[in-house]
This record gives sequence, C-alpha cells and structure tokens, in this order.
Amino acid sequence: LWRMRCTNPLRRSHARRDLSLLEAKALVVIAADLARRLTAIVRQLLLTYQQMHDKQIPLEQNLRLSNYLERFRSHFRSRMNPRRSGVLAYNSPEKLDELALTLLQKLLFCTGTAGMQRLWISLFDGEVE
Amino acid sequence: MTTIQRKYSLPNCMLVLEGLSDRPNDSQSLDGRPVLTILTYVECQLIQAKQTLTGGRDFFESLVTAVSGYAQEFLSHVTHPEAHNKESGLVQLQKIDRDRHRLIVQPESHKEPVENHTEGTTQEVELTTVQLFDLVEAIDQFFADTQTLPDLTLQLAPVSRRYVRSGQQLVKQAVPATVGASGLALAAIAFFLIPIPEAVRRPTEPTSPSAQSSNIANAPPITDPVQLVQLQQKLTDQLRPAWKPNVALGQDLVYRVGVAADGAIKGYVATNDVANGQVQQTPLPRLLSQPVASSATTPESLAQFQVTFTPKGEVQVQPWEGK
Repeated sequence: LWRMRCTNPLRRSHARRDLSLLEAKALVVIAADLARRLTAIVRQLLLTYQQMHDKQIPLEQNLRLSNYLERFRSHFRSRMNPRRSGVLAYNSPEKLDELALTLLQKLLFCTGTAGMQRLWISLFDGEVE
Repeated sequence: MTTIQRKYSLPNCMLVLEGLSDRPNDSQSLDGRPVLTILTYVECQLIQAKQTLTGGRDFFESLVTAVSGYAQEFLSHVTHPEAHNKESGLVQLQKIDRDRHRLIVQPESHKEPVENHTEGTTQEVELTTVQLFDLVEAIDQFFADTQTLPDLTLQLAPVSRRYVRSGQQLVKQAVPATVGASGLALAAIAFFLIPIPEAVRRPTEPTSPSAQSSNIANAPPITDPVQLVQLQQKLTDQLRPAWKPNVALGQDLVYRVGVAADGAIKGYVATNDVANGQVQQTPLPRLLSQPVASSATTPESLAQFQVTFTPKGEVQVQPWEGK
C-alpha cells in the first residue's frame, strides 16, 4: 500500500507504473474512511479559516491552522519533484497554502454519507465519452 | 391519512420534508417508520445564511440535482451540467470564489408565462464551503434514507468529456491521467459498487413513529388523581416483567406513553433519537393495543406517563409533566 504513492508522477521517487483501478479504489476508500474519523478537526480548521479570512487576519495567528499549513508545505516540498511542471505551479508559500486549503475543503466532502462515492466518481469527470 | 415529516439536520442546514404515504401500513419497515412516497412540502433552512427555501416536489428535485452536481464539480473542478441547468431547473449553483458559492432559486411558478411580480422573486443565497457541505450532507442523508421518497436515489455519474471547456486544466485529475484511456474509466464505473457506508446517520423523526401514537398529545387527558395512580400502577405492572436488562444500551430510553381508562397502551412517542431508534428493544410495540375501527371517530381520554427503561433492567413510570 505504501509503495502505491510512488505511482504519482509528481513525486521525487516515482516508480514508472500506473495505479491500477483496484488500487485507486482502495486509496479512495482509505482516504474517505480517514477523513470521516477526522470530521471534527477538518470542520474546525475550515471554520477557523473562514472566520480569519473574513476578518482579514493572517492565518499564521491561529496555531492549529498554521501548524497544518506549515506541515503541508514541508511535506509537499520534501516529497514532490520541483522539476515537474505540475509541481512548479506551487512555487510560493501562498500557492501551497491555497492548495492545502483547497484539499482540506475537498476532504470535508469526503467525510459525508456519500463522500466515498462522490470522490471516486469525481475522479472520472471529463474522462468519459 | 397522517402527515409524515422527515427532518435532516446539520449545523448549518435543516431539511424538512412533509408528505404522505400511499402504501398500506403492512409495508412499513422494521423500524416502524412509514414510507413517505408523496411529497407535499419541502423546507430548507440555511441557518447561518438566515434564509429559508420552500417549495414542492419540482423545487426539491431541482435542488437535489443541482446541489449534487455542484458537489461533484467542487471535487473535480470540471463544470457539471446539472449544477447550471438554466432551462428546466429551478435551482442553480455558481462559484463566487474558492470559499463562496451562490445558490439561486427561481420561483416555482416561473414556468408559467404570467407577468406578475407578486408571485415570487428569485432568491439568492451565498454559502461558504462548510455551509455548502452541510446542504450536500443533508441531501445525501435524505438519499440514504430508504423510507423517504424511495424513487429518488443518488445518481452519480462522471461528467462526459464533451462538457469540459476547452482550455480547462485537467492536470489536477491525477488518477484518470495515470489510469489512462477513457474506455478503461468506463469499465471502472461499471464495476464500481462501493456499498453505502454503514455509518449512515438516521434522520431524526420529529413526529411520532406510528399513526396511533400521533394522537396521544391531542387526546383529552384523564385527570382523576385516584384513577391516575391506578393506571400508573397498571402500566408499571405491564412493563416491568417485559423489560430485560440490556447493558449494551448504554443510556436510558424515555418515552411518553398514553394509556386509556382500561389500562391499555394506546400510543407512545420517543422523547429523543436514541429512544426512537431503540423502540423495538422495548416491550412497547408488543403491548400497544390495536385501535378498534370505531375509536377513530371519538377521541378517547388518555392518561399520559413518562416511562424510562434503564439498561439495568428497571422501569420507571411517572406522570407526564409535559413540555
């Protein structure tokens, strides 16, 4: 399971193989299940973010939120290959924070009753005839 | 015929459906909830946005389709045609920015070509992403509820390639990019059958679980104190031997129980969700006396009690204090 991560072509350690459908599905199930366990935290982070954003307070002033963003940035930088164009698009801390928050919002949708189905089906949007 | 009400409640959104059942009582499911098949009224309260949307079946179908489609668009960033159905849909959703979404509702009489401004105007509600999620989740809980409008089910399908705007970035679609050919993707959808998660929360039932029990609040009360004491004893004697300890329960189950002058249990209402869900564990459904056909015309006087079943196997019967 752990090695499946390396099928991501944006990673530094990229194994040249495609994710099989079954593997992709397994990852979706795991992601949705983990997301559901973290529902309260995900929700709280997003509510905090919304409040601070509305009042235009810098996000660093919230300890929990800045911890999350900081960890996200460092994980992303240490694991993703900066020479890939897909990674190059996130070359500033602001853009990485934006990605981190977008992904957090998506994660919230995975926590729902039909979150797993929604995430899986969404992966094929625009890919079928 | 009793009006059935179903409520799906989340911090920022409360969806209330009212309707009737056109199925005979014997098709009731194990949990005793009748199937709501005819939708008469829908209310969608967006609590933080302080707006309430109401309508009938057309509005509701349009709402669930548009919201469900928009949720998919939110996840994939691929424009979903169902979220922006201007011609036939009453409800549309638009993205304002990453954190704000606009819900637009046309009045239901919109289709009729009448130039009359009093018949309702277009409503617009701005939602944050968390508020949007609560709306999606209320709708998904409705879809997962097989006892409410079983003809409406969650229909998820990937957006076809022809809806993808030219120039729209698909780099973010990491999985399909590596999975490759769209033929394969189709096969994937065919074999995709993740069961509905077990942790589906049951909606709260604000009205009583059965038709008989809905009448107990309206019945004329028995007020004679001597009779009340006798009935309290009678009810206790009926329930106590029938209730077995059930440690797995973890908490008390409390019901409001209506008893006729002869001591027969005429109805009961759970006082909270847990009690409603666990009602089959209690002796109440078995002891409920079936109404005689004629009794429907003249409401019978009832004495009301608060009955508490504890996990340790105790039954407490007290006069209902009322709320």
